Amino acid sequence: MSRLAPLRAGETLADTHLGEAIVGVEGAVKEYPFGPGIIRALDGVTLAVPRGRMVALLGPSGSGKTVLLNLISGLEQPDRGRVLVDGRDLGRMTARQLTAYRRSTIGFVFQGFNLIPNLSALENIMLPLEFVGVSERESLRQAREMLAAVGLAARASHTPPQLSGGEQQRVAIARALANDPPILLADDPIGNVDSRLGGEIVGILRQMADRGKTVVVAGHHAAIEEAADEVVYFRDGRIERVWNARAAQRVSESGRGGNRP
Amino acid sequence: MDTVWNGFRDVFRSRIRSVLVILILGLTVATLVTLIQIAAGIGQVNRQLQAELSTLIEVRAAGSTAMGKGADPLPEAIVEQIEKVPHVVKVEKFLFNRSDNPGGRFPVWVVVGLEPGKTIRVNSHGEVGTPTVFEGRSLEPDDLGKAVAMVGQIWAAEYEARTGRPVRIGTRLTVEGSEIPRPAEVEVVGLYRAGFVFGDSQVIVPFPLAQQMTGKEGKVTNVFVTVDTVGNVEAVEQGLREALGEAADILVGRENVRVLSEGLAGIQANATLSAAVATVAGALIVLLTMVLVTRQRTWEIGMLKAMGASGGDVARQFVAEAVALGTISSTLGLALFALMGPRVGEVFLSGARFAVRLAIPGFSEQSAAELPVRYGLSLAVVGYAIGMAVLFGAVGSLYPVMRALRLRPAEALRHV
Repeated sequence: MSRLAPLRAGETLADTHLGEAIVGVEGAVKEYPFGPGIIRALDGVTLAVPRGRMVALLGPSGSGKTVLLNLISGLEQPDRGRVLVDGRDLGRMTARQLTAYRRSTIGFVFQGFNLIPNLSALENIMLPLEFVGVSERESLRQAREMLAAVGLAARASHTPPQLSGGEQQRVAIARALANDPPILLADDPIGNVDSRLGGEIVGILRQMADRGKTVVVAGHHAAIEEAADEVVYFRDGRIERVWNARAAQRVSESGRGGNRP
Repeated sequence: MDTVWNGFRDVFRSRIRSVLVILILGLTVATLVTLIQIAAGIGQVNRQLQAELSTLIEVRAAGSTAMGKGADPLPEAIVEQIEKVPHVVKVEKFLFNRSDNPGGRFPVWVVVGLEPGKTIRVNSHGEVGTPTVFEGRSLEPDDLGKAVAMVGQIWAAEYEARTGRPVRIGTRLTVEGSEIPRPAEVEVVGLYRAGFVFGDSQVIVPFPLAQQMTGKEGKVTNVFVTVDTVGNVEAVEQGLREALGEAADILVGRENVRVLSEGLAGIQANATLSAAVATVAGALIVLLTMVLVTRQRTWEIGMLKAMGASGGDVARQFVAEAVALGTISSTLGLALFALMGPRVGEVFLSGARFAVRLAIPGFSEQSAAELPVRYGLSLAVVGYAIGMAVLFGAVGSLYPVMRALRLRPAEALRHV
């Protein structure tokens, strides 16, 4: 039985078999020291993300969304539980293997744009290509393509301070996609832009999912929820609810209600 | 574009800070190179003095002063006796004739007779200097039978002596007590500075003319004897005592050499120590700058690692930035050294001068100016500057490299 095919209406992530998902998180616990005690940022999270889907992680600040993204990207390891990506247990990887994993498998979009301020848009996109050893000529070509794909071909030589917030975030998305990673992680990518620009950025992420990328987006905004295939709602480090947003939307539009909370 | 090139470009991310750091470091490098050159110059002088004076013995009439007063001169024939002593390689005869000059700018003046072509030496109370000609020329072998003179700068200023002009020695100094019985008109061929006031108040003429003017034909006041090696100085000293008996004082230059050498070694040590302090200061400036830079860019390090940069990728970028900072500063330092080296050297030497005067009587501004310090750009100087750039880069990179290797990206990303 394969669960990697597109989910059907009403079917949720909870139904996806962990071993078949591109991203599988099993019983993940993550704690941080805080003063004399500890804070449990993730409390036994289990989640399976099928390939080619856009999954939204929603919830209030401090509910564990960013921590989960860090675990999936291999930036952190869970204190208990495990994270599987394409069947590989990240906890068993060496530091060198994790670096290679982040280069080839993960594209990361951060909340605050976070481009290198003295590099042009084009040069920012070339950075991850250099880390994998792509020649300068080839990385230049690919970076131009990526920039064109996010509609900023004419802004190639502009540095981040010369770009608007929305343009910077589009460059950041292009940079995250430069190495053509199968998984794109975005941590509150529209937190610092207005709703119109936010809509544009979410639209780009949606396009990426439609082209076969697995997109996991953390945030607070309705635009993210509306664009996602699946929504995972976090509270206090736990998954409170998971629902199929597309199905809910269709049901809502037909006036029959849905499985949205 | 690669991580190394990015590192070079990062130098100017904070322009004001970078310009300030580069200026401070440039001045540090300029000072450092100047001090190294001063130390090298002093070392060279010291070695020369060691080589020359350690093998030098002075012979004077028993009981006479360095300037020929206090005893009758020695017969010139002793030169032949001295030349026969084993291990003697050079004998130079001098006639020093000190005259009182109560109304003048300086109370005494001296006529020095020497053999043109041999060492030009001025003498004082235990001070020996090699004069430097700053106008005209030195005495030459062809001058032996001529009425010519080299004049010290104080004497020249006192009597308005100029190169190419005749001057009458003896009568123009119509002072009571003049001991120049036969004044002579001579042509001034050169003006010199000696580095100490007694030396600068002397008139140097060919040996026979000095004998004639002072009425001391067939006499010498001082004979300087050069021994072949330092190891034979004692044997020659003994040989001279046996040959000349009680008529002459035999003065071995060991003590002078020691005092002079210690004084110069003191300046050299000061210069070397100051250079070391400047090096440490420069390295610390780069280190602290890079500490600040890496702390400010903690989030960026995390982001680069999250994008797949290895610790090595990040470290290379910061090493390149530190090396670039060092290289730009060293280049500026070289330019500043070329422009300001002599002034910085002068300040340093004038500071050291007072202390040195205590150790070396007569060490003066001129002496400092005459130190063979090379202020021009040379291969060695450029080498120092490159060395400093590499050193600054290496020291400045230590912290960023350690931090880049140790920093966990998730922690860095939380650092806003």
